[in-house]
Amino acid sequence: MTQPTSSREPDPFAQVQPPTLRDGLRQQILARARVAARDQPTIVDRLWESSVLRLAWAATVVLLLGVQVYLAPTPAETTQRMAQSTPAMSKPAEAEFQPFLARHSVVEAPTAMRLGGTSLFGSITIDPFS
Amino acid sequence: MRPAESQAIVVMATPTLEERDRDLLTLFTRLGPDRLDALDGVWDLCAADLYGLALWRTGSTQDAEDALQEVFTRLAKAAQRGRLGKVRKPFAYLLRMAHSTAIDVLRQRKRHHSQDLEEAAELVEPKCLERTAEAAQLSRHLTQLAESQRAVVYLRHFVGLSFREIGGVMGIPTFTAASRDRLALRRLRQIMGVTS
Repeated sequence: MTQPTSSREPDPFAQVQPPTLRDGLRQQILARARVAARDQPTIVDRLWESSVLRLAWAATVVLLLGVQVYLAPTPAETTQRMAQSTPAMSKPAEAEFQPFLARHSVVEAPTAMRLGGTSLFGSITIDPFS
Repeated sequence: MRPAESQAIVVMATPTLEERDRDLLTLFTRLGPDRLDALDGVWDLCAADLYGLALWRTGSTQDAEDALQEVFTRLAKAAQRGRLGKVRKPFAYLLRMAHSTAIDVLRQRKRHHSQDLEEAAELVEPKCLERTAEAAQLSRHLTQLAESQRAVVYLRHFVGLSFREIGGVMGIPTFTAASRDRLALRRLRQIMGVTS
């Protein structure tokens, strides 16, 4: 089966044919192929080759997702539960901290001289009358 | 299935590509786990073409036989696992497998630097004895072509594929296949000293 190369030029393949297979090659190759196919390791995991198993796997995933959606609390419920379960510590703790702040906070005196500084590090002030 | 049944499909005259695909599809449906008798029919239908493609791609008889062995081993393993049912174009499937296997064998041989151990293989045979010398000379000229160009020329002029089918087999665009064929023939004519 040689295709003409061109209508004007001689076909270089007109008088030749592809090489033939040597004798005995057929038996040798087919026998080895059969042996190799039968000796190949058995596939243990056939999950992705069975439609039933694939369907079961998908159904399991959907079921788990459904259970998770059904059992998991909504954000509103979560907030409510947190509000109920958190002890009322914030207000008293803040009230206890106020005297400490009053004693130790730095208050700039009205007579203080500004010595400069940057906005990054804050200004340094010295009160000469304190 | 008995071997005689698997060989009943053998077509004596050169079949067209459609006929060959149809016959191969029938054989592929017969192949399955522990049903490998139809391999004989597959061999009768396309082993020569697969061997020729591997030979033209590798340029070595030994490598072509290795590639053919690998193709039939893979085919038997695929049949044993029942994976041939999805193949729609079996002839192109086998040619693609032969081509990729030939490339693998060629790479392996080049990696082991043993490409000079064998004399250049005869890529063509004469149709009649009077043409023996010409065929031998043509074989020598063909070995000077690039391997990829040789594969295209073989699939086009001896298997009878279209450039689109060649592109599918070799994994290249259709125009690249046509271009390789044209360049290969031009180079071959230059080597042979034929001027148009």
